[in-house]
Amino acid sequence: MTIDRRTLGRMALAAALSGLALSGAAAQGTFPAKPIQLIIPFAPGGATDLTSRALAKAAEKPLGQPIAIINKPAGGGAAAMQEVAKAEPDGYTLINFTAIQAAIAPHMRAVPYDTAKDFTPIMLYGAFNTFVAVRADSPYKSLGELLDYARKNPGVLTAGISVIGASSHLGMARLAREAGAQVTFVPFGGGAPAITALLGRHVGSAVTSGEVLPHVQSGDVRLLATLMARRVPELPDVPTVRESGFDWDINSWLGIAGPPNMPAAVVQKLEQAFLQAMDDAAFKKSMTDLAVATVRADAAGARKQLDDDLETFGDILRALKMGRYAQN
Amino acid sequence: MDILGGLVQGFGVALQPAALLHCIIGVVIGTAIGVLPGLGPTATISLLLPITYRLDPVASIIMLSGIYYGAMYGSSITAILVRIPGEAASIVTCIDGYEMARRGRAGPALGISAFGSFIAGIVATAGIALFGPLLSGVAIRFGPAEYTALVVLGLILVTHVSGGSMVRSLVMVGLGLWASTIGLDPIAGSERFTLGTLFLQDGLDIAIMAMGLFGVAEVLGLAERRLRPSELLAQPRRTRDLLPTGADWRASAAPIGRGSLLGFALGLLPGGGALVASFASYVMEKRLSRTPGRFGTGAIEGVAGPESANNAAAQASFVPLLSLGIPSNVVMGVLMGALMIHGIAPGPMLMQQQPALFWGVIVSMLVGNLMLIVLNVPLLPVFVALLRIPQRVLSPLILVFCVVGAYSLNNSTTDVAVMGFFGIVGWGMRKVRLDPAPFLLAFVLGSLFERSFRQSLLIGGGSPMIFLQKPISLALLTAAALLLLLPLLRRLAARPASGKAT
Amino acid sequence: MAEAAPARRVAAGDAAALVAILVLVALAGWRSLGYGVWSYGEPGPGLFPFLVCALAGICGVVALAATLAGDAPAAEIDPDAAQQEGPMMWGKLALYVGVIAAWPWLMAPLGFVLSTAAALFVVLRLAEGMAWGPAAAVLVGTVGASWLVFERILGVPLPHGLLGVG
Repeated sequence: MTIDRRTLGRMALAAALSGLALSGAAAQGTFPAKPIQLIIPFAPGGATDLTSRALAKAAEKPLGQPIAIINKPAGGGAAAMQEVAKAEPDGYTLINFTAIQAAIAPHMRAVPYDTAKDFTPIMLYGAFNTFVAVRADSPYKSLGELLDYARKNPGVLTAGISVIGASSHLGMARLAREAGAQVTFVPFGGGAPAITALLGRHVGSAVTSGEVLPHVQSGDVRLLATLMARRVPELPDVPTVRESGFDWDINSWLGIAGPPNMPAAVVQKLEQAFLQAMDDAAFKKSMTDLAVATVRADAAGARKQLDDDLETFGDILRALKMGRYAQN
Repeated sequence: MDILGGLVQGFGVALQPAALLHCIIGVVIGTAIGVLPGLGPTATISLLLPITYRLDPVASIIMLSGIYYGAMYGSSITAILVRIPGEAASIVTCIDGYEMARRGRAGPALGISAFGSFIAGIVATAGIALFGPLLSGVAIRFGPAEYTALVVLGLILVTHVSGGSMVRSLVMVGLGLWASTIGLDPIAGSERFTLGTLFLQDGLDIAIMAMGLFGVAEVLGLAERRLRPSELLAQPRRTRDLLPTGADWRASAAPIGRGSLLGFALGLLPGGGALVASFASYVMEKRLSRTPGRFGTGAIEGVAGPESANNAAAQASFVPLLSLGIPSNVVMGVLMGALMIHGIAPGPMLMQQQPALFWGVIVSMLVGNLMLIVLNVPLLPVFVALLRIPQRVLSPLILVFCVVGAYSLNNSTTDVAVMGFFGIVGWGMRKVRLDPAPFLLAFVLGSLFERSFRQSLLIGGGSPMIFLQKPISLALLTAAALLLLLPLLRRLAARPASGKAT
Repeated sequence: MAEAAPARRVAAGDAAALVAILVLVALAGWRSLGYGVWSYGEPGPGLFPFLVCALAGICGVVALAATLAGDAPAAEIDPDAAQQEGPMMWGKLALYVGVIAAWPWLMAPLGFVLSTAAALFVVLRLAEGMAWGPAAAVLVGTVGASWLVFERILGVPLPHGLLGVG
């Protein structure tokens, strides 16, 4: 079930927040003069939800106003995106902006917003790790060996993924296409069930995010590569996709954005507050615990990343003939 | 670590004042949100997560799991009193629980549901303590083919839940399965039957439909004609008269035992464990009963069995989470997030690294179930008194509750409209003798069914032989086929005999 | 129950409902063929919906035939029927249906407090015919208590609308 309200424990938090709110608002005089609403286009409880909550909590202090979180997962997050795209550009309505809704979804299906025009990116704070995983007792020790096997036995290698069109799927599909291999993708609706199926020998490989790490530590799963640009600090032995002989990487970023045409001063204020919040200990801990990679980008950097990725993911999907480019 | 030592350590952890306090808070919140339609344990646990950052990990997991099984109990309260299932696992309880309440036996229904849950809790705790680490492997043996077979078996059981005709049940099962395909395709991600709307992309929500088909439809049903005045005041007032009688206990003992074992076994599997357990238990009791005709008219076995089963399943679902790091349902997924926030990775290493947490949480479930009884038995007269509210006041109250509950799911008025639509449809369905229960149960199983069916075909290279090649799936399918054919064979066997007799 | 019901009587409502269901599954089944039943040796998005529509359709035809033949009337599943008496009160029922249908459209513009008050007014005064005094008491009590519990204690962000308070 996908529910949220401002928070069940609001009573408990209210006292602490109102103290902050009063002192902060009086000192600033201008923006922000009232609580800010951050809409999360996912159901509560996932890594995106938990990390952006931690970030918002930490940004309350520099902003001097509480940030109310509302989860609106309807339409795969499209409803939330549409709502923010049409909201007043006063800085009081923000969205948890991710590559999934912003850069991939427009290429997968018709969405009621135009990412390039309808949003003001404010900052990026993180990105999902994406790993190619096999069981520890599997004979494949590297990404090359796995793809070799898939090339020689077309369609025999199964890869558990969360959903079609997830960055994990696009990454592995691109790997397979460039290696001339044919992989059968089996979507499980989430990373955890895909790993379960890998452990139970129901699929031959899995492409997942950080939720695989406990199974790596217990020695049941071996990671062959990360699809990100840099090696993960906790896993120095896992090579990147570039080190495995490909000239690209995948960045499934997470950030904050607002409606289009926001005043520059408001954008700047929010950008600084959220970037400052990234130094918060509780936020950092949530990122490490949930195995989300830290990516730091200001408003300009976020804009560039968005424009680049809109194009990149479009190219990948066109090449793979998927989503809106599927030919039946 | 040996089991006895583990249990001793677990009691040491769970009986500390702080742990007890968090356990009480958890079960009280859980019961409350279980009673409120719409608000479920998933949302509540997610919302309380930030508060638990400051608690120690054991206390926070004890509290959050208390919310989970507390909600399982709370949802049966509304199912029995006003026929609104707070959780999918209580849909079956609506059938005989509500009929008992109508016949002045709301007290025994609520009582047996609490005691049954408690006994199931003891059975499940013992099961986890004795076999937990061994059983954890069961979960990963279930791949797409095995799930498909399990759901097929479940769907055949669903057709036996309804008191109506088998063919009509199958029509509703088909419709329920179809309704579950509305929205984004689980494999290809393309839109189906969305009529171009955004809200249908997510598919229909089980809680919205259940509130409409049961809660709102009940309000409409009550409005259509005058109630016979005598029926309303039939509930006794004293706690003593509200408890299950000796006869109730004799009728319920075996169903509680069977329900607990069945629930424990099915709860170990990721997916719809608690739900399948509840109606599998209902069907089993109906089959085993010497008077199956009483089911649907207020048979206490039809409450005792399923309520024990769903509680045992809820507790058993902690086994794959704590011992394998596999969340078997959405609530377990959120709990896994909670553990990870505290820097604890649920998984094979947990029992060695955090024995206090593992055993503490297991024992706290026992304590929590005891607390549920201690708290709820004195409240029986209060719950039952709700039924003394005149219908013309109670009906609008139910409506307000359903509207707020539906709205709060996604902060969307569209959900309220969808609930209203299903309310009106549900009222019509009663008038034309079509049962909403098989529809809802099939709907819940539908997405698991389609996903695993198509995953199996993908893995099997398009060949359905995969279902017969895997031993577990073959066994389950054989059981399903027997269940389907048994009534036919029995009828064939009976026909010549009765022919001679006339 | 089934045994007690008089045999050999065609239930017109049952037949109409089954026909409606058949039309629905026929449309849905036809639509699912358009989604692709099988492609590249893999099941397509339309396969599962098509199969379940076929199941509902076949069973629906059998049920319809049985209903039209007038034999084996299905068991009553209406739990209220046994406790009620007197004729159908269509007016009251229509008021309830109207409230349920209109409420969601009024929630956003009017807000929770006003729309709930309006709905309760219609139900209590017009549908249930309650006197002004008790009706007002129940209305104020329900709106006040539910606003307090949901908006204040549980923090459900109810729609604010005209009044500016949830």
